[in-house]
Amino acid sequence: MVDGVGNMMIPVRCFTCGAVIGDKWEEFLRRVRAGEHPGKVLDDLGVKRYCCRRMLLSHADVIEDVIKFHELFEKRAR
Amino acid sequence: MELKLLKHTDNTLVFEIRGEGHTFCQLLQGALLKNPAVEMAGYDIPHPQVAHPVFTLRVREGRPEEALKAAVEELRKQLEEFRVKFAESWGRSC
Amino acid sequence: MERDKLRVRFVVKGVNTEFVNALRRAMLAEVPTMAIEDVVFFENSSILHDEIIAHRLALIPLKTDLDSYLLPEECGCGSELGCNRCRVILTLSVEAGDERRTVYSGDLSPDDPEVKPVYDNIPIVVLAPGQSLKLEAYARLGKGKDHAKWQPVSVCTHKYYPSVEVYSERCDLCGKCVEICPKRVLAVEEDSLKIVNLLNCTLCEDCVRACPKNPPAIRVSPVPEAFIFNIESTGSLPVDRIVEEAAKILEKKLSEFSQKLEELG
Repeated sequence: MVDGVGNMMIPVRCFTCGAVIGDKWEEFLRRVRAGEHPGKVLDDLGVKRYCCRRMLLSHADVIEDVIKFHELFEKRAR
Repeated sequence: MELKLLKHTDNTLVFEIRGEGHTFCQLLQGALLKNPAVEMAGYDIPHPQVAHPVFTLRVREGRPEEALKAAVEELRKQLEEFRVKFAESWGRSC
Repeated sequence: MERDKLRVRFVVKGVNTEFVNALRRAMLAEVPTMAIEDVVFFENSSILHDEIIAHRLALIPLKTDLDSYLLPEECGCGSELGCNRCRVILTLSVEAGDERRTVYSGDLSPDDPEVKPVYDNIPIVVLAPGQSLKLEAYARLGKGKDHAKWQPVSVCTHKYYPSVEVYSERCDLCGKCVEICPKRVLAVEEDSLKIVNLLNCTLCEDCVRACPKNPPAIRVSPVPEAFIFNIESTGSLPVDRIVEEAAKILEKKLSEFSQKLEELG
């Protein structure tokens, strides 16, 4: 959720309409990285409204980046 | 739901429906206004954060209680009909 | 009626606006569903705070069994965390080994297998190597008016049933209305203007304004006492069940009202 460091992880639901989108994120990411057109993937996943579409399209998953720092600190502490 | 009577005369009934909101009041108002004997039916929610709508009903003829009873009866019938018909068409298009 | 697993679109005729709106409001705010309400953390060394994880857990839709569970306020147990008639315990215990591990909604294990997350692949948090997350979550029935996590529907709308009339004697098939319609309701086919997608019409009247003729060769208007309902479930309850429950809730309200009226005399 939004917690001061940006969107750490994909929100579970669309902020506007409340439809579940969290379950679609990993497939969306995988297919877009594989080179598919994001719009087509969203159509395929059944994300129809633009409120839900922007949730996936504009999301940047920063948790992986934040975890790097954690791992670094852990290493130093040891 | 709690009812509190505020005013009761031969043709007017004012009461508070504690714990309900637009969902119920609007439904009731809509059904009452269909009745030609009803002169006025409406509700007011004096404070938006307190669910205590004040319902006002005035009739041209007859008693206001009768109009209310008739409206409730009609709504019940309508809802049941809706439920049955919905289930029917849901089943058929299965 | 058109439908798939989670969505339904149907037409109601012969009812007034108040009726459909009451139904819509009942579906949104009064039909109960299961959602996680309390979470007890035993261990959380992840980089997200307890409350953020609790919030994410709460938003996960759970399959709801309305017949065997009661709303906590209707259950006589009086216990703060509920009894087995009004709550379900879901436990989650994940430890990351030497690699990063994403915790999914599917990792939640409920004590009642009927009340499991609808989707198993909603990411909750990513654990770094060595981190762990252990918690116990208490799910209970609730209503949408208390929190949006208990809303059984993500979309629940109604609109007027549209009527689109084309006056062919005035229409010269210029196609301006076809072009401007945002919902692609119209099409020119074989020397005439056809309505191909009537139910999508939103009565915006763009086509009427775009028509160069005066008076316009097209007219859109709502059909009295006819509505199109559009409902999309979050998955916790089947759509037909939501509609049925909403109607039942309104019926219950009416019975309660007439009973209270009798008491008043």
